[in-house]
Amino acid sequence: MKKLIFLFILLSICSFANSAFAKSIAVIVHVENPTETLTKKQLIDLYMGRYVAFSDKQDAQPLDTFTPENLRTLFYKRLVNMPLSRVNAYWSRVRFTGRATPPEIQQSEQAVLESVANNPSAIGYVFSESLTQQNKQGIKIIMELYE
Amino acid sequence: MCALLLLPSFMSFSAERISLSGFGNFGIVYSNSDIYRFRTDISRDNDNFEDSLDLNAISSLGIQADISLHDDFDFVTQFIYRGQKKITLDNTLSLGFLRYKPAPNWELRAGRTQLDLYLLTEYRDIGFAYPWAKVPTEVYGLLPYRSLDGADFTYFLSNSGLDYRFKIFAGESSSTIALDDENVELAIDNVLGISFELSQFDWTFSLKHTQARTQNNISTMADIVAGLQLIPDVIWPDKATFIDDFSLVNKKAHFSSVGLKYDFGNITLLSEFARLRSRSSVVSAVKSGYVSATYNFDKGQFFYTFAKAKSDPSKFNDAVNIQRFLPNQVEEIILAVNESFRVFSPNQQTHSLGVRYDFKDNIAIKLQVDQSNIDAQGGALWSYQGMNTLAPKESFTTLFFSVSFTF
Repeated sequence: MKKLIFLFILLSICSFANSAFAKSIAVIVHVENPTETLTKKQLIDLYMGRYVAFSDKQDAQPLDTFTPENLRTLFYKRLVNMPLSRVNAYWSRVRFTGRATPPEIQQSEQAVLESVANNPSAIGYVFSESLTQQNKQGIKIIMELYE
Repeated sequence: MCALLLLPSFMSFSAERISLSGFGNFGIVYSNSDIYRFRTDISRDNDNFEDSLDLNAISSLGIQADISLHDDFDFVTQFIYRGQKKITLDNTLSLGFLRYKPAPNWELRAGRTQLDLYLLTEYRDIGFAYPWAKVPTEVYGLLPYRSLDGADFTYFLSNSGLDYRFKIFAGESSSTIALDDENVELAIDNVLGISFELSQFDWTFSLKHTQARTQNNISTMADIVAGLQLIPDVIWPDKATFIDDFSLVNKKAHFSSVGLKYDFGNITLLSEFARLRSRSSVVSAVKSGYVSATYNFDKGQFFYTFAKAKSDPSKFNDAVNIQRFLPNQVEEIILAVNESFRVFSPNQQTHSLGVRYDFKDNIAIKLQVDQSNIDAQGGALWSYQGMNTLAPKESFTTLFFSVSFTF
């Protein structure tokens, strides 16, 4: 019996973990931003301070977010296959040599949505499932990142 | 420096956003050598020969302000404390530049920037940025200069999936050189450098070349030159040529490096080869390099590095043809000249093994073991009490433990 309970708990944990990792991440910009899509390389360039502009050479302002937990970790894992500590190590090379500043960190997905809706230069990311008809006003999805 | 002085008036009416950040490294170094003491580079003195544990050698603390002034302008300033015995604005200010960036693919910076001599020179004091406890001493130990007062221009081009980054810079710099019993200034001017990087995100190939002019003789070199001039021409007819070669005044120095970093899967390979040469016979041609392999796991890295520095210092006897027996005073001068030839002449190699563990996303602990083999008279990169010409061959182990962080 104990073994069955343990197996059940283990399967539940795995199922929960899988569902967290399977969530897609939507990359969003202002609805009037002329960018319709990005390649993964362009997104890497934007988020890693290499070339911080859209295809039409307009400056971009990338945004990160603290919450929900794991969103930022998953985003960078899918983008550059690095844990956050290595992303931070990379940024310490870029930032402290005066090459570029890292993305501005917002407190929540809602703050990211509001910033993007109010700023044509902003680009951010949220879990796709967090988007509703209401909070999608003023933004558009230009890319989705999957596991 | 001018940019820094002009900043307050510019900021008062136009600063849009200021962000503060910083980094630090608290480290302990233990060595089982009684002869050589570790230092990160020749600008650092280490007279702690009483204790095997050293708390200063790899410790540093830095703070940076990024100030957005306008759509096209920003200002960056950074101060680093890394064990300077006398703290001044000049020796703690590592960045202080105004940037003009009217387009995403080019920028112009004026003020104080970090001197981009080799692949890692710009961030060698930022421990969190690399896996090792310190950058390979064989390549970076002979570079005392950190900052450049001047300007640089960078152009970025992305084409067919490849990124090209060109940078040219010009200016001047100054640093102390820590000798056995004193710290002396050695200034360089007419610095002119070019840096080229070809990359994708998972690999970078870099080529860098800089030329500069040393401005002054160091320590007793002026006295040695005065002494050499007293030797009668009858004894030494080629004296004038030798003295001209010996002096560091107005002598060109060249710094060149080629580097490659490649990430594949969990492995990162990094290799760099550098060459330093000067028209002065005091600075011998130095070839150095390292190969480093890193295995990346979720919370850290294991690494192995092999580094080597090789130089061929000038010798007084090779340079002159003195036929007669020498008076005692002349022999003393010859001794001093040969001593000078060893100041910039390392001959050593090191195997390093270590681990970095990322305790948090912005805090890493590192442990590194170095096994160094120093040739006789080849320990220029280390603190050594005594005459360089009598410095013995030595093999020893150095342990590094550090906590690196950013905030």
